[in-house]
Amino acid sequence: MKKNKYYLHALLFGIMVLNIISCDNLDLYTEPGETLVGTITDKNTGDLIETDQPNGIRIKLEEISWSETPEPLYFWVKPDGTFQNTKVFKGRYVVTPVDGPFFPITGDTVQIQGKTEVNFKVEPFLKVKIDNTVQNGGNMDVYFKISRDTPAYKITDAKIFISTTKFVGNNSFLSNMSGQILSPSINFNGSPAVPDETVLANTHKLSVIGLKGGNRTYYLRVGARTNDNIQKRYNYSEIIKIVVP
Amino acid sequence: MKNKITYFLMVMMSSVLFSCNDLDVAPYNIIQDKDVFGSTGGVTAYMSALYQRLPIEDFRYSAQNGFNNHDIRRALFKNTGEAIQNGSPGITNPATGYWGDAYTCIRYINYLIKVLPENSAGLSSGEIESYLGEACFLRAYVYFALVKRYGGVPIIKEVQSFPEQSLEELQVPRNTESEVYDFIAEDLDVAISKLPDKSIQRGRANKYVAAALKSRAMLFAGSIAKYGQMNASCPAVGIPAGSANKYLKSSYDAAKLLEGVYSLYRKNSDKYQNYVDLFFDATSSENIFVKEYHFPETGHCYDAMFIPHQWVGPQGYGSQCCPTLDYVELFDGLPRNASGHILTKDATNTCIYYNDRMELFQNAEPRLRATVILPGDVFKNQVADIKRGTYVGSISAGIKYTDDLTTNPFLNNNLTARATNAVNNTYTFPAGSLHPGVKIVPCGLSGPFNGNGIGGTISGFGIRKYLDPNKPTDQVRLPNYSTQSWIDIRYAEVLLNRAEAAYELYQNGYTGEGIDYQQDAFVCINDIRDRAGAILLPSQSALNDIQIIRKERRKELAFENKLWWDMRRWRTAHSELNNRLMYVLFPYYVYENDKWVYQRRPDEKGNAARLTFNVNWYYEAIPAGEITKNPNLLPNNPGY
Repeated sequence: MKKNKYYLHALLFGIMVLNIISCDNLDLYTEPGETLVGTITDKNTGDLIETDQPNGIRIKLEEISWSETPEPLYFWVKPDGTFQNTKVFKGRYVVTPVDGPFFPITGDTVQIQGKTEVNFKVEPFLKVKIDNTVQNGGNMDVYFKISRDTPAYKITDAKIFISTTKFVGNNSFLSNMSGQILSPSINFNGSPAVPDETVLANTHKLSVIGLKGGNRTYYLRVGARTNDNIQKRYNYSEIIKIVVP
Repeated sequence: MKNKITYFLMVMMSSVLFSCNDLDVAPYNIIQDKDVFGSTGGVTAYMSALYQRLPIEDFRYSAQNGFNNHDIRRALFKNTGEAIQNGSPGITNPATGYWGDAYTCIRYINYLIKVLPENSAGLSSGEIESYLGEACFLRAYVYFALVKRYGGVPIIKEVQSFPEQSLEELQVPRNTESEVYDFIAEDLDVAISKLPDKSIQRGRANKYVAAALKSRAMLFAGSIAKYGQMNASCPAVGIPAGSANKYLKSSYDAAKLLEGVYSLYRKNSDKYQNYVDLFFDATSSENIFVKEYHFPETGHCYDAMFIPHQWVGPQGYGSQCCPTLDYVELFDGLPRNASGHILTKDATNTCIYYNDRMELFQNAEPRLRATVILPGDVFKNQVADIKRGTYVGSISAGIKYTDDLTTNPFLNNNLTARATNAVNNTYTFPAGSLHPGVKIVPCGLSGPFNGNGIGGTISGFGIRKYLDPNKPTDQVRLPNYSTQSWIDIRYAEVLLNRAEAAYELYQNGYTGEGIDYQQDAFVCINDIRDRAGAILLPSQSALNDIQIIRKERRKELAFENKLWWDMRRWRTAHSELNNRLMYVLFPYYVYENDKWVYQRRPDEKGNAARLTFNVNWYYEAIPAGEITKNPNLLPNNPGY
């Protein structure tokens, strides 16, 4: 009986040793090393689509090397409308830009190997252009126009975003305090709503009031959005820089 | 020896042979379906467990911990701007993955619906009908909890069984959001037709409870149809805009069923006391669906969590959520400045003196006093001693403050520093000041002050609604010590549902059945305002904006875990709560003239307390574990 016990111990010890040795070789798969880069541009003007990161555009990756219905992977597009992911497994993917402020498009099927580039041309819901700005110390009037090529859903609102960093957008902006109106907005969808024709025909003015001076630098952009936009993303104007003396 | 064993075996074997006939009997140690579903007592016990599992967002529900948890510090109303929370500023997204518990509950209900008719020998036909109706009500309640979180979910009407059914059959894909709402309406219609007029026991459903739930659920569907969007990449969420009127009308009709059966609580002619009592009177004509508690098994800790510091029990806590000034400013009867905010200083930034703290609120709507503990008001026969500090400087030039709070002499020079801990932190006038050597207590008993684990108010207000005014202080503790009932559905909500559905129908130009929907909404809103002591709408035409109805809802149903869902179905949460900092109101005592001044300012916790609602929160993500079990649930909701 006692002898058996020794055998048992020896056996257990052997299993333990085997376990320890086998640990090293468990992960046989090489790490992902392929790179996916690309841009998302306006199909009419060729300009990059300005967005936020995160909560802007996402790239959806569906690997179809193994399965017809894979679980998708996502990553964020940069605020300037370009994207890069250096940790993708080699394989065949459907790559689709989703959630952005543009008409949905179907994805491209690509073999990702080495550095693969995919460029998407989309049609933004809206285009926002700053016409003119009038600065008076810490106050600033911003004039802008909204346009679009294809009429779709109701234009809901426009908003100025101001931040002390150049990553300004709906993720990062200074909000209004009493005595200050830093990021004002217009609601086109109140009661009564402003008709889209009027919104598109007019130049809009929003006034920023109460920026602190002392040679501070601010970044400003204007965003507008429509109702067909599930994720409520803004279409942005270019970013302008303001220095308040 | 051998013989003995043989005999023994023979006897054993013979007994086995005899007993063969009776082997196929139900085991006596397991309760059988016929015992449970064949008697009133059995069904009552089964129902009791279902009610206990029902996803009621009550005193035991919070954004952080979901259902049936004592820790309700992160209550749902900290997310909406109704209140701010002491320990965790900002929004706590209540996406707790309520899914498995829901389908467990649905399975038990489906089982009852299947098995009860087969085993109901001991029940009358009236009882059978009533129980089946009740089951449909409960099932609708659970599906509503699911659909408002996830949009479309799989509708399971039958008891599933494994391994009899194949895996493919059991992995049911999602129905669309409108299909789920239609199913809820169908179940509630069955419940309305089968349930009796009066509940057979307190806390159980009757015909009108089902109708009230229908008015709530259909209003959700109507709002989502009107304000939400369809999504091509996730067909399970979204309701076609064209069906908005169908749902709104259904909500309106269901609410109308309760007319004359329930009414607003008006027992006491003093509107303030009446509004306080309405949450405690078990015989209230306003109570439709109520969840009761019992110490020590199934209580809650609402009092311990939210009572102001002055009245906290032996374990501490208190003031975990504090109403914001933004919420208080919704009410009538406050003095206001040109921009509509509460009047604290004149045009030259000089503070206005008030003789006592309540002078600012002397004309406030009674409902406000009954919902919020105001500085200087009386609770449990004591003055709520809320003050941020004492102004000890000279007042010969008046007390001034501007909005630039960091460089403000009002804060930095003349005031006693923020008390660091409890209220016995005293201040002595230094040599050379106005009263050298005089010792005072600068802060109030209920704060605000900066406590270490001790909660004073952080907004200048406390929650009054539902706080038990008669609970002895040593009983204000956790767990389970509070037992006031949760009124899950009260008639005021039904009236508000009806007014909102009616006004939306009116706005959409719907004129069915010759009803004047604007007029109907007007009557409902004025009924609520009259009971609350608010200013009445002068005429039907004055009801010209949906915001009037929404504001009434915010005022009436605050701290009842409703507004979060309302802001979701109105699709306004992402614009209302975008980098938003809530405002607070602090009273200061002026030592020189024995008067009070008020300061309106943003939440002292600053940027950390900003509220931002992410757009993808309009739907909760389907839990990853459920997708692993059932890949047919894909695609997940937008943004996940």
